[in-house]
Amino acid sequence: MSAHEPIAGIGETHLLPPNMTFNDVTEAVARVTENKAPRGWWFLFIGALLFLGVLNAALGYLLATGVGSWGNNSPVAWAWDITNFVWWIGIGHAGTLISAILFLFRQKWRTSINRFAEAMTIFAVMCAGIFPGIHTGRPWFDYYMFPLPNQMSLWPNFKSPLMWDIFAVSTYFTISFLFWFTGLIPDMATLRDRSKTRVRRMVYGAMALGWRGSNRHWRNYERAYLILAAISTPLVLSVHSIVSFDFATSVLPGWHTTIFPPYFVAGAVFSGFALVLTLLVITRQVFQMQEIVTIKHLDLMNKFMLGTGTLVGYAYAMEFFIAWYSGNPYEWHVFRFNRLALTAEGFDGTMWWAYWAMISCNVLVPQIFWFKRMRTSIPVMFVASILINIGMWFERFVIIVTSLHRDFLPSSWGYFSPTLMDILLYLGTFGLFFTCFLLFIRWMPMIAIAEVKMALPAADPHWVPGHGDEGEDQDHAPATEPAPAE
Amino acid sequence: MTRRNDYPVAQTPAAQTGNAKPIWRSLDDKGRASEERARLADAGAEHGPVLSADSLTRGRSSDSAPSTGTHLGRRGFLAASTVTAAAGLLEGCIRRPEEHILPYGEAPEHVVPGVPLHFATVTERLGDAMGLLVTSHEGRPTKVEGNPNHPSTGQGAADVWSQASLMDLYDPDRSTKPARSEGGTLLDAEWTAAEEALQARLASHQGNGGAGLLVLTPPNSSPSFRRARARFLAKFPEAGFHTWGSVTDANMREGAKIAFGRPLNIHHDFRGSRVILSIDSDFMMTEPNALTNSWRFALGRPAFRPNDPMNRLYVVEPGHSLTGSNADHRLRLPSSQIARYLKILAKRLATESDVDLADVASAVSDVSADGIPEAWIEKVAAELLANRRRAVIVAGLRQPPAVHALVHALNRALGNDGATVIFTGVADDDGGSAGAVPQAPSGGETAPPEPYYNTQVSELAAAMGGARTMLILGSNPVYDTPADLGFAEKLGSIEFSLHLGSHRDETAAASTWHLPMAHELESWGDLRSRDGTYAIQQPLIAPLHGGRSALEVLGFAAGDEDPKGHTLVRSTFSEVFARGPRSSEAWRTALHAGVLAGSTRRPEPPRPLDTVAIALAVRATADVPMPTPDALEVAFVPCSKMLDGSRANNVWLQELPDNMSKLVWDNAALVSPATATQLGLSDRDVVRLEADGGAVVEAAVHILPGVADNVVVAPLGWGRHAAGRYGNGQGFDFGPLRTTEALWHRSGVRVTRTGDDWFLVRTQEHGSMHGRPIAIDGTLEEYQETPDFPQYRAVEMDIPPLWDRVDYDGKYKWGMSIDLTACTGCNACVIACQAENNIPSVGKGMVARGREMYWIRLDRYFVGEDENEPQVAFQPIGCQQCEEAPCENVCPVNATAHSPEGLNDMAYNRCIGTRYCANNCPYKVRRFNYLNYHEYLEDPTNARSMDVNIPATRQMSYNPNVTVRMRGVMEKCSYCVQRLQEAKIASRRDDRPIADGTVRAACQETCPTKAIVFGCLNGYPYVVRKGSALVGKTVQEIAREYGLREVRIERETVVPDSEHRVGVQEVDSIEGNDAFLNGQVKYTVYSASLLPQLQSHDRHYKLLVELGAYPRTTFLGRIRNPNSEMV
Repeated sequence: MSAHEPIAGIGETHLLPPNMTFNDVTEAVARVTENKAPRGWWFLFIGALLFLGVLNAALGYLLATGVGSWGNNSPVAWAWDITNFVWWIGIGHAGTLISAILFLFRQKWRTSINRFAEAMTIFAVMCAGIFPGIHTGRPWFDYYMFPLPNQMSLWPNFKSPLMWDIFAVSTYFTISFLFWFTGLIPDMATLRDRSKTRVRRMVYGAMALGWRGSNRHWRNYERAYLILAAISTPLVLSVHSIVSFDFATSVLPGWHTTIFPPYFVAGAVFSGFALVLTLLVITRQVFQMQEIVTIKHLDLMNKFMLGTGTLVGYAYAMEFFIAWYSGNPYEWHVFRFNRLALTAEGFDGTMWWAYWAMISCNVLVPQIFWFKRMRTSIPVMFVASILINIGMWFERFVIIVTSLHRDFLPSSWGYFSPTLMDILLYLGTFGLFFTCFLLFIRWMPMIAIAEVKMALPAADPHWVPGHGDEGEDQDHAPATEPAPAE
Repeated sequence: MTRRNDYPVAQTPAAQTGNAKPIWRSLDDKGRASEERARLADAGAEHGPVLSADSLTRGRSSDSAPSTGTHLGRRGFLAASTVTAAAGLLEGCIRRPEEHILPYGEAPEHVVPGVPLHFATVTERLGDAMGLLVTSHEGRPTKVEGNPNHPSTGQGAADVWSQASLMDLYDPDRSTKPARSEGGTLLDAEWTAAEEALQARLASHQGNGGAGLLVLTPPNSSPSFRRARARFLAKFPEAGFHTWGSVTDANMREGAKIAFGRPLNIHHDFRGSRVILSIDSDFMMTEPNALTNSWRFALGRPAFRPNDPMNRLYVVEPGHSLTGSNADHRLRLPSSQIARYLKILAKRLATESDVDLADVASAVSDVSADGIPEAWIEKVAAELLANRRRAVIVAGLRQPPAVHALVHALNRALGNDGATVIFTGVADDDGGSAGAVPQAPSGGETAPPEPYYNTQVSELAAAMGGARTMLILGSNPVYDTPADLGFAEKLGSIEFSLHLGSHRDETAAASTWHLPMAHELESWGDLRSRDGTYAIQQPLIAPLHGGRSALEVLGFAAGDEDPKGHTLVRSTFSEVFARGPRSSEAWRTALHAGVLAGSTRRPEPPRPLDTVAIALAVRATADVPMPTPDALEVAFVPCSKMLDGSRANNVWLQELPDNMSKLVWDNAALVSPATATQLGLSDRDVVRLEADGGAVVEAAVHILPGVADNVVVAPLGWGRHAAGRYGNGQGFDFGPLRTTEALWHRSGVRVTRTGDDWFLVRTQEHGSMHGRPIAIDGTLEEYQETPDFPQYRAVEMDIPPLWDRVDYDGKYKWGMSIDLTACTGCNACVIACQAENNIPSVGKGMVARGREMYWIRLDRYFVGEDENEPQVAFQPIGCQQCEEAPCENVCPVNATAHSPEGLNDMAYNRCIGTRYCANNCPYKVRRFNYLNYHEYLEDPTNARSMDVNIPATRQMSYNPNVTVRMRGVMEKCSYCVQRLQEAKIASRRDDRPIADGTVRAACQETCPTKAIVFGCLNGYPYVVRKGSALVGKTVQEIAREYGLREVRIERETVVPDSEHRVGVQEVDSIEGNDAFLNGQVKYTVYSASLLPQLQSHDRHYKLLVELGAYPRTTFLGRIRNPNSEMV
């Protein structure tokens, strides 16, 4: 890895090696879709397909048998189903955050990872979208949730947060998809232009939507991208806020909390970054992309996780504080016994392990990223990112299940234990996610070629002359105004 | 014709002439067409007219001749294809159970389809009769209620067993055919073969007068049966006739025999008693007359005004019975020590007796008071003495005759005898005479009647030794006789044994012949209640499986010419109870009312107390040492669900949570927390109970607060292995430990852990309220000081509503109030609700997952510091029908919404099952059909099949007025909305306001203590229409004419399109003037409701009121009446 030159005055270093050329970028990204897939990809892909099969089998069984095949019960009417839904939705936040918000904030380091993260978003939202659809008792009547005109003039109940969910998630998916696809257009054209077979030319050609790289194309493209980024930005905040309303607007102690919207958004970003990181670490290794996705990128992501993880930790503490401070005995009971379960006699309670798993993974683990050595160590960040994702799953589990299992009337208290079907369905969604994801990295430019080029030193007008002159390749230079400097 | 086949599809001229085929026709070949058409016709009847080609052509132009019919227009064609495609799709997706339509060939009298009929009948309960009122829909009994005319029902309540007897009737495992045993297996046989075999066998006994012939029946009080028995014994004078019931009041009768020289039925006035001392008597649940006892007990503690007199209940018992859970003071004592306690009490009381108890006093003089708290002797005695003639001591059926005899002496000593304790003759001491005429006090000259009722087990054993033929009519002695009798073994050595039973049970398997027995709802019979009231048992339905009643079989054996139940009962009636020409009329009246007027016996005049016999009996009861951890006592108790085990295959009872332990689908060896700690036992451990003589039982342990230390409470009636698909292998049979000598408790039992676990399932795991104001209770003193004390704990806050408040003025506004002081926790409401609302049982595994479906549940909380000495609070919880219902806001599809009458309605068709409502329900009363529970229980492995797999008999039990919910649908209490609609329709139809108490929820209807009150919070509003019979009448006239308690009339000036009622004023009469006729004035008649008074009563509170959900159900706080000197 080459040296990173500091920019005088700001203290920033360049993200990408200064001697990297436009062509290098194109080659590095496009060759993945053109060369034979490496053996590692095949292993992963077959594994993913197996899990996809598990998903299909689990869904089939579920539809035939009913949600009774899960461990859900009374009082725990929601369990893994909604936990998984919120978890996947949360993961889907990183993509749009990286793409849109960081784009608007002109964070150039996003360019190496945004495509990747956006794709992840779309697949994660797909996985998430399964659950609201199938967790209902009679999924064949799910269409009742849509405002379809009918002879009885029956409308959905717009007071219900679940209705808001439907709109929030579907909007989010649509916009994320459009945003992702818009960003893909120039790169598709690149792939089309490099195509050696007719099929590739046709497919990529179709997806490039007639991109010719003309000034007008670039102009419209940039405008569209900016607008979509602007639309996506509030969505990042709204989706998980609205998902959090599922809980916050209820009367259940442990759910009925005003801190939920920001807390959920922070948690979502946190988990999204963690999963992006997990995948990125593997992918850059498998496809030899260390040059484009540098350790600097990873370092920045770890900082993000440290930040959001600490935010989440603050939310945990504040939630706890308010439960005590409010003097609401039901809420205090939920936090003290259902969750924390720390009493004079030691751990007392039934689900303390979930809460403590959450605290250790989400609050304690990211604290290691205060240290630069940890932030730049691939094994450490890999393990940490996985732990964070486990922790974030537990966060949702803790919120949903531990609140539900012991609420107001002790007579109706219960317990939750998952069944095999709960587990298989959850594992199955990984099959869907990874199948889509592996197909994506195999056949599509997993890194935004055009955008990375903008982040190259060559695209920077403030570049100190004398560095990397020979690397310039006018043919591939973006025909647009250079990105403004901060 | 069993199936409607050629149903005309479309009644248009075209279809009739055959020019136009219904478009469906083209879908199928001709073979299937008619079936398809019939199906569509059915569908059409539900969903509107079936499309015909004719109707399709109209789309094109209205003036084209429709009758030609063959021309399909473009639009018509499109519509047709769409409909066809949609129909095809629907056919594939929608579950459409295969249905058979069974029209009446000949319409029975009175049966109007859709209109239920009610019949009075009677059922046997622990030697008592219980009058029932059974609802029948098109000939199917669907609901059992108590007959308010009958003395045993506490004014119309029904206990869990009566309610659940429907499931016995519709049990899919009932025996359907006679069977003959060949090589140890039962082979189906015909009734004729069985009759011939029995005939031949009896003929062989003809010569010797019946020597070697033995009949065994459960106890019953049927005069017809007694007459048949007399005829049988006349024919076979040498035959033995024995009675055995596992749980009976035999000890009570024996006790009365000791004290008074003859068996007597005892009646306690719990209403008039200020102090009640229960000596191991569960008089509210598993003792005879429990419903009336509960009702009277509740009447004795009204707690509606702080100065109302209130009785005080002391209970001494080994286990934790329902009665014990309602006690103000409860003493845990092993069964074996209870006699000693009573002796000590007698010693103390004898000194201040009204009568001379010197003999008794000397018999109890040397009793030690070890281990019995001083207060329980001194304070209780003081209370009893202070309340002479207003106290009652009651002993339970588990206690030996000597205890009962001593109780009689004490009641006499305290002057209670004749005041709070009265006696009537037993059903069988009159030789079958009417008994309406009281027997003259006969001093000592009349020999005590032959007590066939309570055969000594030893006699039975002796008789069986020499028997060649045995008829077992309606019981299951192989399962429930004491182990030392070796009944199965003895039965095996009898050449010819015939078992009449509802199931091919343990006894059937050991007999040479088995006959299916008709259910009580299928057969004619008669029963006398304990006070002598005669009631006719009339069948609601022809025997489903061709069974016969015990009476019929006995009549057949006695050689009756026409051994039909009806004939036998009718002849008893006309020969004994209503002789003469008016007999038929009396019969009809008695059938209709459910009781024969005037048949109730007068109380027996006081009999001299045989203190010598009592003293002898008391001396004969040896004092047993206190049980220790090494030598425990096993106390056998009648199970509050299974009673004696004869109903073991009843799913409703199997799944009903036990009153105290809340266990379902199991019983368990119940031990106190202290004993469990001492023996190192934990919940669900399987232990081995070993008694002297090698008797061993393995059972799971359940730790239940309130059980006496060093006692294992063993509920009877479980562990059956030939009960049927639901009852087999559930729970543990403690029978092997039960012997003739140790019928109700066995001492010296050792407990060892086997190391195994048993899957014990409860519906409620947590017994503590965690200091929350849930089932609020207080003492009488607190109540007197602060009458509205519950409202200081459940503090109503001023929370503004989220949405606009609904104006219910002038509309029905339903509500409910539950008095926790009156609620005894007897479970009757739970089963009543299950029967009324087609609630499925879900099985043990599903309950373990918390998926039981009860719409009303009985929460049981333990109160108090010491976990071994808890007090109990019961709280029935159904949907609270919140006005600001948290469930409604969160349903995405509006499946649960508020009705204009303030009910929180549930539209099952609309529900998609997100379960969000259940999460948001603070009371957790919403129940979700996680699986297709109606069929799940039948075949858990096949629960995902789309076919309806419910036994046909089970389907007969469904209430047609309530939807049977499928999988994936949320359900909950609806305040029995079907009944509300029925009442409203009736009110409109009959043009009369609803009278309070006529609209009753199922739980309310069956509550023995009337703890649940349902009604209208506004009073019942009735909008008067033009031409109504109410027009022109005054308030007083309306009230008088329609029997209404109180009436109010509101006159309202109607303003078109006004949202609010304007110009409302109260008036005295309804005027039929022009303004009224022109609709400018509206009159609403309100009849009074008790509910508003209860909902504003001092004791009322709303559960979780601080959430601001405004529940419509309110509770009245529980008042306890402890003796301040005892604490």
